[in-house]
Amino acid sequence: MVQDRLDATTLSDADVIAASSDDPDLFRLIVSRYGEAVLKYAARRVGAQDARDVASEVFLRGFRLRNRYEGLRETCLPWLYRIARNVVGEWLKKANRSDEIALVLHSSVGFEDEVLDRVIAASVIPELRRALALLSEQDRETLLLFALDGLTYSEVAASLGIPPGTVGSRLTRARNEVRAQVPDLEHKASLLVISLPEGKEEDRG
Amino acid sequence: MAEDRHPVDELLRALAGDPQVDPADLAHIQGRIDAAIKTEKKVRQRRRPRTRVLMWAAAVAAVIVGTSVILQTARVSPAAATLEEIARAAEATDPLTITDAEFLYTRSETQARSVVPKAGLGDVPYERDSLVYLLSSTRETWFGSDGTVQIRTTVHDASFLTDEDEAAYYAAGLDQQDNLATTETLTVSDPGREEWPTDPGQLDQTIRTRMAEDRGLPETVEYLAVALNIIREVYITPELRAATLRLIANLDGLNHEPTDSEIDPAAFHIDYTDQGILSRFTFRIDGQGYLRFEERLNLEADTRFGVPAHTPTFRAEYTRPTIAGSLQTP
Repeated sequence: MVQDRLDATTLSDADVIAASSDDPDLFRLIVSRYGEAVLKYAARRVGAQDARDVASEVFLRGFRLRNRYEGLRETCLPWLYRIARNVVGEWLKKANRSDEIALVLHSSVGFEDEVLDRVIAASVIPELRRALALLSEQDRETLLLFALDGLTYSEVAASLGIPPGTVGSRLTRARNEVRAQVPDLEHKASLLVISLPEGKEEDRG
Repeated sequence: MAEDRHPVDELLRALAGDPQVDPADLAHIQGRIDAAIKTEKKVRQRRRPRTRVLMWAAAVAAVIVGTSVILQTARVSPAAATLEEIARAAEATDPLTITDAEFLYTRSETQARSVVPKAGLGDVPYERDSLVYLLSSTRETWFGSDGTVQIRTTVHDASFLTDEDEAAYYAAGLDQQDNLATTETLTVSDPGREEWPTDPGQLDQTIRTRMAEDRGLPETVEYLAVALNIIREVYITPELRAATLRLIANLDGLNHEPTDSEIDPAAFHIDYTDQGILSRFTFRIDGQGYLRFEERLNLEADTRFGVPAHTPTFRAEYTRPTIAGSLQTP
């Protein structure tokens, strides 16, 4: 059995999930692989204080639903994010915040020492939040999954259950609408991202 | 496909930041999953002895009839398999959500048996020790997004086993006590919805703590009564509905009644003895896991009250919850 577990670490997510149907212990691997990503997703949506509870519920639901897994073979992260969206939605509803956008924005992350950055961030956050609120839910989710959560086009498509080609069009529309709502967006973005930790700008694709 | 960078993305990333992950949070999640794994293993172990007996019996039967077909079908009872199928469908169902201007609306048509001792009839002459009748009512419920609940109950009429019973009922003024042909509306502000766990082990334990212990009914019946209460005319998540159905599926003595449609709604029953009278508890669950019907009746004549066999003690039909735009009957 120990040998089986060691071998399981090389399996794709889909294979691990399928095998966990008979050997539930294997699902621990999924938590090891994506615990951090789901915690970060939750922290960005509901804040650090409640992220642990939300992330726990995501994995518990994933565990219960694993026999019906039909996600991507290599990564189940889009599937976990899909579950996470539902959990976050219920969390907002429970907190009587259903009308809010689940997104935590900070004016003091990554550039604590820069007074100017904090001022810019503080001024742009309401504009950005308003712009995001004007997007359709589908466009907003597409943008956030790609820009914040690091999913590729095909992973965003898998998470939202849409064709990959649709991701591109939604992304373009969402970006254009946000840009139209936030004056001088490029300039503000360029000022803020300078202070970000190294590696943050790493490209994907 | 070019997955390009964009100033909007950069602005979002800058303001959302890169949340730090506390190793203790990861350990907490792993702990929750470990607990769920442990519970699942326990449930499997509990099932195993029964499965082994069934498989042993099936193996013997297979030798006798020279076929292994029974081996494949003996592993899970039809009732458990059907409820598992429904539980999966329930889980896949989008939760019903309501806006501030909407209500979740449910409606039930009920017949409940009433038993009034002779002393309760006052001076009205009556031969039997107790008067038995069925009271019909309709209950409508509106759940608001703020937690308030409006319940409107209309008592329709009473039905009787004999003309003598009916005459005694009206002569004793029981129709006034029962509020026949009247409607009452009650609004409860923020009643504090009951929080049920969705973890199977915890839910099982919570159900057991709510079971009545003084009615002399078998444990399976008391368990079923509490479990159905969770999914009856209430506003719950698909996950809780599914978890409850899975626990019901584990009940000993649960039978599946084939219907025209295998799933929508599927009928189940448990037979039991209530004060020496063979009785049946039937319920039907639709394809999305909603309780649509339940009935408790005596399969044998109940000589204590002169009640013939197959007379219901309780019978109710439920609509599937819908979203209503006002506090009026849709």
